[in-house]
Amino acid sequence: MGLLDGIRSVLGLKAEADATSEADPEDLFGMSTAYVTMEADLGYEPAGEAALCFSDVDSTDFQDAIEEVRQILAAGGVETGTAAEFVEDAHGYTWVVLEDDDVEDLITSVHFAADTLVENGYGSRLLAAVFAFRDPEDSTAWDESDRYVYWVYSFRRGAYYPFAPEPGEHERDATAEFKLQSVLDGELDLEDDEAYWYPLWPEDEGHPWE
Amino acid sequence: MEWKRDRRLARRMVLAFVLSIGGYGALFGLIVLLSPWTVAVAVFAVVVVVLAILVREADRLTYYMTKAVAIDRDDYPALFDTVDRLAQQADMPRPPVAVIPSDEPNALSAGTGDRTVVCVTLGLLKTLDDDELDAVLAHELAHCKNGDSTVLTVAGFPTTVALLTLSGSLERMNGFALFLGYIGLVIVLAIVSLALLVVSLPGTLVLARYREYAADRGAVAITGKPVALAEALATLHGRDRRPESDLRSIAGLNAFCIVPSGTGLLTLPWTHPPVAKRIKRLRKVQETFEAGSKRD
Repeated sequence: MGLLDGIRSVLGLKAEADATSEADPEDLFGMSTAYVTMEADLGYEPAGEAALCFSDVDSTDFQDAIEEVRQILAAGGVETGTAAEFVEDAHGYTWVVLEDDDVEDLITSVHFAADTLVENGYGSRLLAAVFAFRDPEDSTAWDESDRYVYWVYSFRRGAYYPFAPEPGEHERDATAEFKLQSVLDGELDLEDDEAYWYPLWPEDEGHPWE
Repeated sequence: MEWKRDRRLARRMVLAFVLSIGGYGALFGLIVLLSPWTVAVAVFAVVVVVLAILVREADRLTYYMTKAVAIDRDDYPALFDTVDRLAQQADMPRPPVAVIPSDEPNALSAGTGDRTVVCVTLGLLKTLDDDELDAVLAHELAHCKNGDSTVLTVAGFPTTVALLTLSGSLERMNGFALFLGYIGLVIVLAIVSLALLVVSLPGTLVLARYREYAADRGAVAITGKPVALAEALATLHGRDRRPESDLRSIAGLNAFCIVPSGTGLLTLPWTHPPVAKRIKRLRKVQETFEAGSKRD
């Protein structure tokens, strides 16, 4: 904790300052080379899906900003073919779910959506961007229980961390996460402090946003 | 939207600290005045050690006093996941979460660093809806981040000493003391501790109140929903009071609760601003949210 942080904490202003601090979308683009490594070195295929998670603000202005995001994604979708869908999860968070087989397009769309919120002054509401990959072990076997691993980008921390949920359970596959961490370290800006590797549990077998 | 900082809050916080230092001045002034310097140094050392223990073991003390039970995800998955998300939004590792088996809806946080535990009562989980519970939990997380348990323990120490001495000496003011002849000492102690209380109390109260306002603002910064917190406060405040026996279990930790709880000998009243005032300030925050949309 720096000196300024210490003073803020003593004055009782740290919670407010941290919760309203600007988003850091800079290192999001690390994914545009990382997905190649994922496939080449680990055999993880991009699942063709990514999502942006943010929490609501009770204001008309915020709803306007969301409408802007919707329009930008719709306009972009005409060109790139990226489908965008807005869903709300059980925790009351909103997800912009993007579908495209081209990972570059997914990253661009996530960045556009995030950037629009940042421009409107709502960067601090962004919780995470999530990129889904298919686990090689299960993708070859033809069964319904697809296993996914995720790269989660924290806008707050400006860093990525892996998230590998065991399908249908609230358990993390520590081995898979460790493997992801060690192979992608250096290529992605990784969150060093594992206390910040927050899970985003799926409701049941699907993705966290389903 | 531009998040407006409350500059007045920061200034008042400084004032509260100056007042609290006054309390310490009075405490140590008394000790130095009443005893030789060797004793004064010894007392000073004891105070530092006691404070360090109180600060470090605040979470254990809370578990003990409230009978709180630390929970796992399996016990209360929804509550656990909610705290997860809020902590992520607040940019902090998830704190330990505990549930207090009490019907009185309340929440509190105590401890230092990553040992700060967030406690909610069963009554709270039953009384509030999802948004309101989010708001209350965010308020507690804001207390964690601001280190309020530590700040209030340290700043309120002279007041605590004064209260303990005063109540102790008042209890001993009886025929027994008169008979044994130490009534004079008891009376002097009572007067001295009353004086100390008068000097140190304002600082503690002002500080505690502003920490509440700051935590309210922090909570809104985390959830983005001032109205939900206002509604939660109104719900908790407007409830019929439950029987005394329920209240007692958390009364001792009043300064750390979301709403004041009951009354007890060691409980400080007025550590929380009136709920109506807190709600009014939250409405102001909501106003600035909407003002943003008009300006654009």
